[in-house]
Amino acid sequence: MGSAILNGILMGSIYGLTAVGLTLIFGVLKVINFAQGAFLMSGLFATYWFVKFTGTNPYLALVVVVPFTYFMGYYIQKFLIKPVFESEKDVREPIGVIIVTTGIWYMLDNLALMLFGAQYRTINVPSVSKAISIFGLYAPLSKIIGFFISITVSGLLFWFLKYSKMGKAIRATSQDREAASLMGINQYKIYNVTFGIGTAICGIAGAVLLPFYYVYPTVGMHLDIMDFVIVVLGGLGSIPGALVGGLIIGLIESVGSQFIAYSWTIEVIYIIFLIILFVKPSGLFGVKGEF
Amino acid sequence: MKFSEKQIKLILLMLSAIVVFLIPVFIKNQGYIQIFIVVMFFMYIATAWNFVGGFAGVLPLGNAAFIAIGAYTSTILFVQYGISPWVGMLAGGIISAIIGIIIGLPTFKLRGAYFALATIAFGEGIKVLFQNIDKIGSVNVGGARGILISYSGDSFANFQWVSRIPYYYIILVMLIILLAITVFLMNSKMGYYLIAGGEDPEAAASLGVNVAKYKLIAMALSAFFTAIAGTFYAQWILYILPKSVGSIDLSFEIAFIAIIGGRGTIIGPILGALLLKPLGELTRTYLGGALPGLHLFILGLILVLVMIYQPRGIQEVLTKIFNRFVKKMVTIKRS
Amino acid sequence: MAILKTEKIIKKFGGLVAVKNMDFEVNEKEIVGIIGANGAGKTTFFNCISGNLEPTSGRIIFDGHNITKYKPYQIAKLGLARTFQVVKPFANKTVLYNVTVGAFVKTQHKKDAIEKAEETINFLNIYEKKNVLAKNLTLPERKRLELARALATRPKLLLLDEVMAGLRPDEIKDMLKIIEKINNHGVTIVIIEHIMQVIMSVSKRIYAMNFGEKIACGTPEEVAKNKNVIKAYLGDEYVIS
Ligand SMILES: Nc1ncnc2c1ncn2[C@@H]1O[C@H](COP(=O)(O)OP(=O)(O)OP(=O)(O)O)[C@@H](O)[C@H]1O
Ligand SMILES: [Mg+2]
Repeated sequence: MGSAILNGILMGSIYGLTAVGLTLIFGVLKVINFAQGAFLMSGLFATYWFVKFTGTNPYLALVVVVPFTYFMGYYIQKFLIKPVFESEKDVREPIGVIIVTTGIWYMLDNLALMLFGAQYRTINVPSVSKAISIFGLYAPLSKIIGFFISITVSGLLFWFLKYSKMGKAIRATSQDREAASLMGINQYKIYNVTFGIGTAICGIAGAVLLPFYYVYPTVGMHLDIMDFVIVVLGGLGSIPGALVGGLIIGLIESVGSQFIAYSWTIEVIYIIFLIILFVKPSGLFGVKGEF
Repeated sequence: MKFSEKQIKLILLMLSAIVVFLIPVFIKNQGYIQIFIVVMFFMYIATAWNFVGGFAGVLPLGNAAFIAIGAYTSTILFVQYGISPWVGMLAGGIISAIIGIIIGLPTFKLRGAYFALATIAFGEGIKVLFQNIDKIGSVNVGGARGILISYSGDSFANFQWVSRIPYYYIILVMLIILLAITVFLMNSKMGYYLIAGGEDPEAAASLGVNVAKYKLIAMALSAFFTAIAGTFYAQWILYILPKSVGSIDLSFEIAFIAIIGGRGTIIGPILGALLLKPLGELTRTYLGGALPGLHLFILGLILVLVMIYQPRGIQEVLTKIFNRFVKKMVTIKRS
Repeated sequence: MAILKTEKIIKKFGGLVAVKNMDFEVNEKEIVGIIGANGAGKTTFFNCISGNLEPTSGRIIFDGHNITKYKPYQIAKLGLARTFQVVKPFANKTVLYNVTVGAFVKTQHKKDAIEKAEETINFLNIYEKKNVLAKNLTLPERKRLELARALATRPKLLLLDEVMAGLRPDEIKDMLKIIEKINNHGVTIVIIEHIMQVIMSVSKRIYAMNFGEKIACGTPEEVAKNKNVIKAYLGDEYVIS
């Protein structure tokens, strides 16, 4: 039981990290990025091939994976999402953007399928896969490293948004697009950067996840839906909310599985999700508004 | 003889109807007939999706749940109680409509993205439910293994044939009926109100439109007709499992077909299925071995391109070309 | 006889009191104007009447019904129509389609509705635009469409929120004529407008609002001379005492 809680927290923090990317993009663009899972898959594959070719440590892969995923997100936003975003500017229910991100998801997933095949791939990193004990509870070192990286990255992002010049511009844009562009902020540049950061966070999550997970072309799907649950639970647009939501879902998943079959745990998560949507769509930390 | 544009359109429509009805007479290859059935099946479910996703202006991404509910209702009634699938079809439709209303009540209050997410959770929730349940009391639900419908001889009452041709005509008639209903609705107060509520709920309400009521009616209709397709699927394939009738991929595909064709138009889902299904089947058959996933990659690509360049779907261009063509016919006849 | 009466309407947005104790009355067949600076609370007051916002407190009586808690569509069905300051056309539909939606309030039949809609479009001199998609209209045309749609519901009372803002002087003249023509058909009209001259030429009575409160009410001449109004519009130094 104790181990289940510990593992739930560790896994939940990484869920939380991927959800942070999603919630950041939503907070600024007001767009739910359905391609988030595909971005995570890209991060996982990038890490996998880096480790395969260099034979080094997956954490070292971050040096390559972060810029790779950042620019991937940046240019996807710039060339594919922006045109739709612009044409829908004054539409009340902008769903074209959701559809485009879904199209991107399908493209990325199936590109991976064509390039790499459908098989599950894992890496074996003996140095981090051994279990270590914390207060008498056991968890693999890789998960513990993942936990710390997740918390650190989220903290850095929080700090970046609060104090850096770019971060301030991002926040200004998220609060009021028109006002921000009047202040001389190029809103589309901000969107590109935000999308890049959101994607890069997925890349980091991928690198962190791979040592104790596996990768295959549609791996993002399950995490995608989990991410939606997490961000709505925490409050769409809220970074602390995404982390807390991640922890909660991680805990439900791992502790729940102690009592009921895993597939029922998933059902429970869906039901919780629907209840939140119906009862309190602003989630735990979200701002009130129109839903 | 002189024809007006309207008359020419009517003649063309009748001609194509005759061609569609005669296809099984001339094409004897069951494999081809099967492809026609697939195309019409998707035309049908995308048209049913369009009630909510097109006219009511939101994005449902869980419609496979209704297919599953329809398929399971009639199959369980048939396999275990010997009740004709035609009766089960109606029962599944009604159950689906009720569930549609129950799920619609809270979700229609949600805005764009939240609605889409809620329907995904609903769709996945239903699928996982069917996967997890083996038995309810003495009722065998089959769990993840699904339910096999055993073949007991060609029979209309049992909705079973070896030949594909009866299925061809059944789905064709279902499609024609659904299209007729759609055309009728869109030309009625209900259609005007539904579309107005989808375009701008606040403006519609200020004109006396009870937006929520019309959206719920649309949801009930959409769920009803989608469930009926579920029964058709079960009897056509004779095997259902949660992954095939309830999958998120199916839910997305339905939406994609209608969107690429042109959501909120009557012809959109028809054109969407006509373009995408054969394209998908062909790439899968001829290139699927070497490049699995190519057809889905192309689907995603088309989706992105359509959203960027033709956000109202391919129907817009095609209708324009068609109208120009008809105009030309008029002038030719005149001269 | 009063067709619309509001009693002590208050609308708060969090800490901001957008409408304060509005007592307001319109008699049948009248044209009443509401003036006030930007952010005075005029639109918010309209939103309370039309049911788009629920007032924090107070009572609204329309044509003998207490409509305070009614939903917008119920109020519209009772014969109270409105236009929106920021126009809200059904963008992907034609002018005729837009107006037909309004006309359906009184009938079940498409033929009737279209007939009524065409009549209305004709009345507002936009008949030649009837097959144009709403998104392709110019702003003055959109304002007219907004009005046509509301009028197609054949209302007893029409709330007009800045239908003349952004129009050229000759277009304003046209619009004023139309408004008088509508009124001559027996429709009561409440009209929000920034520009005093414009509103004074059509209104029998005018209410002036400032910071959510009614600061004056009476004939156009009375309101124009009112100290509070001059102060609110022009600043203290213009008040001649
Ligand atoms: N939905 C809302 N939420 C919060 N505050 C609002 C809302 N609607 C209006 N307000 C505020 O209420 C006040 C009154 O606004 P309102 O739009 O009613 O003014 P108005 O008199 O119509 O102004 P204008 O002449 O510019 O149209 C303003 O301070 C505005 O910012
Ligand atoms: Mg206003």
